[in-house]
Amino acid sequence: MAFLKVENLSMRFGGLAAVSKVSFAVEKGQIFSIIGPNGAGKTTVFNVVTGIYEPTEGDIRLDGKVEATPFTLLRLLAWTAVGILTGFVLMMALINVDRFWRATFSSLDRSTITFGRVWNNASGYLTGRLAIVEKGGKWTILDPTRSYVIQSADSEEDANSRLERFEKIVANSGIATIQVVDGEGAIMVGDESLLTLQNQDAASQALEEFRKIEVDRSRRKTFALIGLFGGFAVGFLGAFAMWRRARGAPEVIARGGIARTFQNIRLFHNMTVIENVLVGRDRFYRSGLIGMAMNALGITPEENQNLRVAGDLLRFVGLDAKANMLAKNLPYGDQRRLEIARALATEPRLLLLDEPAAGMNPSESADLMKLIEQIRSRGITILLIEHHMNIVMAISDRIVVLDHGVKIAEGTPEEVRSNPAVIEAYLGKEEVS
Amino acid sequence: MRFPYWRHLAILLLLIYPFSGLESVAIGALATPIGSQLDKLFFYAILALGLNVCVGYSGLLHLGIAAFFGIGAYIAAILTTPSHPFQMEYFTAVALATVGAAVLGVALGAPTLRLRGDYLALVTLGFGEVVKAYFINLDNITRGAEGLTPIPSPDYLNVPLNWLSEALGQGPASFHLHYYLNLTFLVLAVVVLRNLENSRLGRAWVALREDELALTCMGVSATRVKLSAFAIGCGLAGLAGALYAFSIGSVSPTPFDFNLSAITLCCVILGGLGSIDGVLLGTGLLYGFDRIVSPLVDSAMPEWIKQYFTIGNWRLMIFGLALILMMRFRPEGIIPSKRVQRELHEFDAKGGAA
Amino acid sequence: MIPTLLAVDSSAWQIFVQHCVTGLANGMLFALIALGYTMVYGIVELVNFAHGDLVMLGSFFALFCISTLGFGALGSSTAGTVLLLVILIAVTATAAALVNWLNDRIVYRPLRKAPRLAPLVSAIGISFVFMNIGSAISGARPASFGQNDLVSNVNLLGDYGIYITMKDVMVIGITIPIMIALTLFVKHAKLGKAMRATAQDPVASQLMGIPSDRVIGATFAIGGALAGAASVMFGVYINQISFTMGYTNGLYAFTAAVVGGIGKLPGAVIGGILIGLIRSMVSGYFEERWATAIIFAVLVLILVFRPAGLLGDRRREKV
Repeated sequence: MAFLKVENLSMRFGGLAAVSKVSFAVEKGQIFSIIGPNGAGKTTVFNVVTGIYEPTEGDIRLDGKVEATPFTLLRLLAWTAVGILTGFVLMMALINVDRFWRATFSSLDRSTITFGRVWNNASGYLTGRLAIVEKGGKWTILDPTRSYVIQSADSEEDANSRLERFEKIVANSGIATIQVVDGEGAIMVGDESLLTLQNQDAASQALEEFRKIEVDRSRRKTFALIGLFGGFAVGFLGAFAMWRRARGAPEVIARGGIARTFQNIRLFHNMTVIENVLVGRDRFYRSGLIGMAMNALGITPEENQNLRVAGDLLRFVGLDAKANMLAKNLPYGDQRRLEIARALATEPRLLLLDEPAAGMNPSESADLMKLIEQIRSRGITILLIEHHMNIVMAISDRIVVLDHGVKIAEGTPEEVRSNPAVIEAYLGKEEVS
Repeated sequence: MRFPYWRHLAILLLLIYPFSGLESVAIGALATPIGSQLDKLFFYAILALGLNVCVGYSGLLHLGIAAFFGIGAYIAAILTTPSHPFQMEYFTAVALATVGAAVLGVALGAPTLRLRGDYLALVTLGFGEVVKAYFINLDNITRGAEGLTPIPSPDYLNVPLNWLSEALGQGPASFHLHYYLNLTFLVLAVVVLRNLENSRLGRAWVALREDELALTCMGVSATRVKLSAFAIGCGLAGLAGALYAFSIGSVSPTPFDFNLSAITLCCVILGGLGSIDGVLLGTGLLYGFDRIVSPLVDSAMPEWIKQYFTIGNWRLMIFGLALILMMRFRPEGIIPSKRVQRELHEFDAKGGAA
Repeated sequence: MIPTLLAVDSSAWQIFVQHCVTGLANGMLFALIALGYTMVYGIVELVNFAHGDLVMLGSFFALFCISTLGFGALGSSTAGTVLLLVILIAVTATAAALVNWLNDRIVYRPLRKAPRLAPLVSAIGISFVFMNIGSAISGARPASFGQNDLVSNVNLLGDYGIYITMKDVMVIGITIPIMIALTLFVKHAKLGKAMRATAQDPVASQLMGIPSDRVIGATFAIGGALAGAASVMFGVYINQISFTMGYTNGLYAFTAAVVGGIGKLPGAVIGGILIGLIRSMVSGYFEERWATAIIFAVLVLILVFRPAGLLGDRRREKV
């Protein structure tokens, strides 16, 4: 079983195919090189393997599995929570949060506020129930938004019975009629007289008000539902989409045990050498926000331990004397070595080196070769892109040759060296004279 | 890194200032008592420190910090003012305001994670406008343009202060209570930020500013780092807002506009991006100038000059020119963080070489 | 039955068209300002915060020309009004171009190699300076742009349900030619090509012999001229100017530029029109006080789904 298995990998940018249908397999403990002329798609392969690009098609497996954040129940719950929150916010926006607030809180003060009352008022506003408010022995019946008084009552029973009748009118306001009895106007639902007012005009006016309340509350209910479910959908799907997009993101791949260096050095230039390595150690820290904020006593055991590991790594690449220099002040070769140390700090199983010897003089690249061998002897598999053929041929166990995004050869250094297709790709076709 | 000794000294001086008697001597006939302005300076400093987390450490250009300041102020006001039914206790309100602003910061940050620098600046700027529109338009919650008032002070804390004051042979001074509360929160904020600066989170913030892609390739989630910067930055702004509400005693929508965001950004840049000392100094200079020096000078100026020129009328011009000159001649601020200083001067070297 | 339906329908339809016209005219003005933002951004990647305030200063300058310099005397006849508008736009555009060019020369050029934050902060500084100048000129109260409407406010369509005035015609009639001219200029003129080259790669274009500083200066001048033209039309169209209008309109215009895809000229126009339409629709069908909030909600939505704006191209980061 191959350690890293790349199958049928294709990467297209717009219409341009940078890599097409490349497959190779790296065994554990190998130094595996990818070579090829400039523009052959080598770095693109690296970028896909480390999750910077999502491949157009193809499959990458490390130790038999695709590195991606797993789908868990907890995640589902988190999306649901985001959805509920978004739904709540959107609902609030659609039902006029200002009136909602008034309906919920205006009748309460410090001494009367309880959770039950708040809930009662809030749900009353949403469902459009009429409200009874008691103040100093007087009862008043308010419209659902609690913006005006419909009637006042003398006792609680009176208020309740009126409320009941009014609710009935509101619910049946479509079929309610007005009847004139002895000059007084009565609002009738079926045969039942529910409210009697001094004349017909007053009664029809009142009925009009009840109709408005009914229209208002059915509209508010619709809006609340649209907001709640629409917002839920947006939030849930949005969270899902973010997870989807970030599933194979670089940080996930890196946590899965693949670390890399970059062709054009990407250090944190204005941080010190040791800080650069410590950023690589980040995933081994366990302290939370509170712990970090409270760490007034200075350096924690955790920090100490990681500092020690980082120091060891710097010693390993030969930068321990420069630990407190700024990364950007390092000479070029040191910067490359620091990038390697930073990558090693994440404790990878597979290390991707993108032209580590670029710009190095022969003695530096000899040192680099030794370093790569030492990394391998730590049990780390290495995938290498390099143009210096002497390095590649000397240390690689196996080589893949890419040209214009297509694999043209694979084999041991000897096999590749004598492969006519490779020679052609590098030197051009031999002229027949 | 140690807590520099002069910070202890500064704290000590600030602690004894209200009892020093300077207040009554130095100001005399002039208009502004310094002490009642100093307590405002403290919460503006917290606000600037919050912005510094976003802009200075993490390089996220946040132009809507005033909105979070306002959110903190309004949450604190709503939770305590008698016209709303909650009437909570001072510390609960401050804590809830901080948390509320932090949560909203994350809510704003989450959908904008993918945006590059200037786009983020615009979205935060726009968010500021939206929040201000809400402050003005939600009549029942925020009481619209007239605002919420009064916001009660935690008067029971006055007792030990007055006792101390009596013991030292001075009458109770009106600015003592909020002066000390705000100072305490400021010191707390500085200590927490200093700890964070030297923790893995602080490193991740700076690394995010330096190279986001490289950071993610180290197995660090840039999403989390960004959101934490937003949460802490906006949370501090909310804390500052709550202190504002309590110190002033009322909130209304006008102060929370873009000018406040811009001036706070000025404080951060004037003092030095990413440097706590710098930000404190920057706030002291800018707000000190705005709140203390300029009213003093204006009141001391003869009438015939005042007709044509007062610093109060030309303060924006002065701020603007200060910003321009600063960027031209000392872009790293007065007390630059070691890192930023290097960063800003690197470009000179590159320019020369190119 | 059918006639009633038609009548009901056409009045709703009329209202809709009415909002479209207002939105379009407003949007065109935003677009004109947005072009200044987007051109400068396209070439130096700087959000020129002072641009909106330049419009504000331009309006005050135009007002100064009308009232103090006595240009207003021209506006008594139709021909006179046209002449007055042409002169005003020419003079204000020149002045604004000069100011913007000076801005670049004095403030931004020395910062060309500085990190992105430095010119941005300077821009905020300039915006403060402009705003202060504006408030010193006008005082806190908004100023009226001339005693009477310079351009008539009478409905051109008579009693018809849709209200289109000479002002709408003026705004649309002036901005569209300007935009077409600008597009042609950037596409075909030598300076326009140099601008595009500098925007793509300043160093390479400098190596090709393009004086990049001068090209950038010219870009600022053109952006300033557009702002100047917009400022005159703003004054005439709204008839009321104040020193805070620079910030508000600048924000709308900047939003327009970003919505359309900053750096893209057609993007700025589309964004401007979109913002104008949204604003008038919200004011018409909802409440005006929520217009800002809704515009920014739309902005956030667009940026979430298309982070580079409507017309912007998604750039892949080079690794």
